[in-house]
Amino acid sequence: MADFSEQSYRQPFPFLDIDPTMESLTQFAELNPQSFILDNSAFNFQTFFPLSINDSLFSNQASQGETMSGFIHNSNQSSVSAQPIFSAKTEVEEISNKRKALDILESSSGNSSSSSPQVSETGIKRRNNSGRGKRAKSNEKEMEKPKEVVHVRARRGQATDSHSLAERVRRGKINERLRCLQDIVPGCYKTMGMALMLDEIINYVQSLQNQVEFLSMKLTAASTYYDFNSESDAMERMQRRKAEEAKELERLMREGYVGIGGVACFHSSSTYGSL
Amino acid sequence: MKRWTTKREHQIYSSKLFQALCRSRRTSSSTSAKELHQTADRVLAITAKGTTRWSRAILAAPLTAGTNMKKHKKAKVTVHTRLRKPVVNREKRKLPVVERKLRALRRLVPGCRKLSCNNLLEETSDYIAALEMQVRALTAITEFLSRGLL
Repeated sequence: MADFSEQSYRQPFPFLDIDPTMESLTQFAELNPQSFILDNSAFNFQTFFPLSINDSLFSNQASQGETMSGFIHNSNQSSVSAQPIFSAKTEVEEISNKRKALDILESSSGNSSSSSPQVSETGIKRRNNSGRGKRAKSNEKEMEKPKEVVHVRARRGQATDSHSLAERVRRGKINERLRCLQDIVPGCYKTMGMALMLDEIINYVQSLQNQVEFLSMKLTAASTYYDFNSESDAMERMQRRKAEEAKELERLMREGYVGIGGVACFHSSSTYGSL
Repeated sequence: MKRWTTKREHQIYSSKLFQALCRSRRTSSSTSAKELHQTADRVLAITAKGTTRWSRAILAAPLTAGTNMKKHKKAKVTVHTRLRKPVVNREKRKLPVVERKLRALRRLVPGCRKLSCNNLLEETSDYIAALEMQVRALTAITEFLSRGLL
């Protein structure tokens, strides 16, 4: 059993893959009464952040097992350091209520139903994540100073301080809106960056406004010959006309694109207009 | 954004526009394109039912406010600019490219002069959808009038 604990320190990957559930963590806790405090806080972490707990705990183990053990040693050496962990726990509770935490949860994995698939998923994600060269930074943040309050899990290779998280959330929202606009504005392809997209959007809005202006001029010109006083049933007429024309078009489509037939139908529709 | 694409909304807008047009024609004999443009914009804003910023801005600041353009205040140019130390600001002025474009967009969409990037993009998408509907309605009415169907 002692071997098991040592193993869990050194080789977190297989440990994670084999039995990534609460049970394993309980075992871990039982085996190491010294680092009980840490595990207790880890448990509490897990209840609030089922995703990332294993991720942050074990990711750092994976990258640098020494720092993790160093951390545990620190917690063991002084009971004072146990205090901040507990205080951090309460802070974690507060933070868990904030939106940011939820966003991070969502961002690190899509599913939040059970812990085990999440853990394995994050494990896979970690492996697949090509290192972005920010290992050292994330490890530094993991060495929690007693003053730091925000405990969040981040993907491997990404910074964990609150500013970059907020930035990430903000960027995600902006990208979502940009994608909506991409569908609306014609001539935008997915690989476009922000600046090009904005160019297209500005051009499109300007062209629409010009179009409206031009049409309003056309309408004023066309409406000079219209007798507005006898307008009472004009709207009904217009809507009736619209419905009729829609039906005509439908009929045309159904009968197929017979050239002569189409021409004949168009003629009939134009004579309709003299009503 | 989805409400600007339904046929029902289109019909509502067209009918309201036409009624407003007739009313304005009956009250004032002058037939200016600008007036029509304004009424069209206002009816569009009414159709939006006050959920978006641009619609509220259109309704809040009407009645021949189009010609009263604010003069953009530029730095006062005194005679001795050359004698002063030339401050190299040229690079810094050009750096935030995205910011400049956002500023241009803010000028285009009514009522969004101080919005954040996030909200601005949301307003823009709604505004674009509304403008498209306006274009469709205006073309339809023009067509009917010119064909003599109304």
